[in-house]
Amino acid sequence: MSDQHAGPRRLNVSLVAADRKVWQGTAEMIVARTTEGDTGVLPGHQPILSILLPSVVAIRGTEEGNLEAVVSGGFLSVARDDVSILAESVLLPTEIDVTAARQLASEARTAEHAAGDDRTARDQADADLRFAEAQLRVAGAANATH
Amino acid sequence: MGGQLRVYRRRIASVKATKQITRAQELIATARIVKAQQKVAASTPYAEEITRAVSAVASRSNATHPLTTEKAPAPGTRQKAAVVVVTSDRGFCGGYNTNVLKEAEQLMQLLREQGKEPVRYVVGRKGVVYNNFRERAMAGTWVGFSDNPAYEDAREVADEVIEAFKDDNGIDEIHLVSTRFISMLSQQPTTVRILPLQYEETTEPPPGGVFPLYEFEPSPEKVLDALLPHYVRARMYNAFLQAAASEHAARRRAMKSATDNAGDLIDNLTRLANAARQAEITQEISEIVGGANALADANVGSD
Repeated sequence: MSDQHAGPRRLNVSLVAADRKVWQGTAEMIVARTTEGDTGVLPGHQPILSILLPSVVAIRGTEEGNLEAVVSGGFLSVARDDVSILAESVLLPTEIDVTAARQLASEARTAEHAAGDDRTARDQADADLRFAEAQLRVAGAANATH
Repeated sequence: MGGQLRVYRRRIASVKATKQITRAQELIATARIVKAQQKVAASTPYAEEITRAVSAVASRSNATHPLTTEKAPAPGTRQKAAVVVVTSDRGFCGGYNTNVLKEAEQLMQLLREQGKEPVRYVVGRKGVVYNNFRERAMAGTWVGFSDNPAYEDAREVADEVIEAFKDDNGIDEIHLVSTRFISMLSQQPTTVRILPLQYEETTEPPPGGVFPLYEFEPSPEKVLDALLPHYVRARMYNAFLQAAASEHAARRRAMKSATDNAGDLIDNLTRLANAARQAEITQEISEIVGGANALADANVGSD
């Protein structure tokens, strides 16, 4: 399916949050963390629909260079070189509030301890913690390069 | 007559004050419609993508998922159907709330005829007051965000309803009654069944045609499990935003006609006041003339 096209094919990527379209453009590759592990998507990838964990999504080779975004967990859908990343909240590196992320992380740690045997509360706290840590990681990288 | 004129002047002043208020409300609503419309437009890509993904999984997977299939009622019990009604927090918006509440009543009537028991979930102060006044039980109420709903608000409502849906003794269906924003001039109260899924309910035909043969990771059931809460939240969020836009549009229209009416009233009252003033002057003149004539007659008689 992927071999019959000549020339560089690109992925059409849209990064969609619940209340806005965060980013749209073309890219060479996408790396995202799904429940099955890190998944790389190149043009010609088979159609998939998988669950994303709260993590950093790396979009490589866009017109503006490489791009990173933090997602709060959601879905990755790939079909005919169209890639949609859906998440309730998506943050670009410039939008990350480090103080808020630190606070979320510490709250999530407390909640995780308090959750005890409550599975749902523990999962929620765990997801919050991953989201906060992903934000801090991206923000830290952004600060280091500046 | 002097009293009559004073009464008219007082009424004109009072109507003018009302007109200023309604005019201000109209302008505020006009300004907010645009913002509300932008929020609807901004939330549409997500709602569409989620709906598309849900349809893709639901049409692919052969597994009967509890969230997509209708539960058979346990013998001797009635099925319960959640009816989520979206009303406004504030009044001054014409028939907006009446229309949506009427639509909800019709739906509940229909459900009762089908042998189901409707369970009310009410969003917006007006709907809560309406049901409280009639002493009707409500399973959940939310107020305070009808004119500018955030995603978190929709999430709160959706999560509570989903919780009740997952519970074995809870509800079996979720219906949503809200107002759809068609244009500035037209808003339509609508009913949709969110769960169990109804395929014809997807508002747009799947963009890009037939679904490709998706591979679902980890499995179609797991993906559907994860998707459905997001789907319900997205549907509710979109409905809330459309309801908010409709509320502002309804308020703008109601306030515009109130302002126009106040203007007409002022015109009429001004005319009446002018007539009263003129009558007062005429009477004064005729009294003076009459008095002078009487004096002249008296003088003629005495001479």
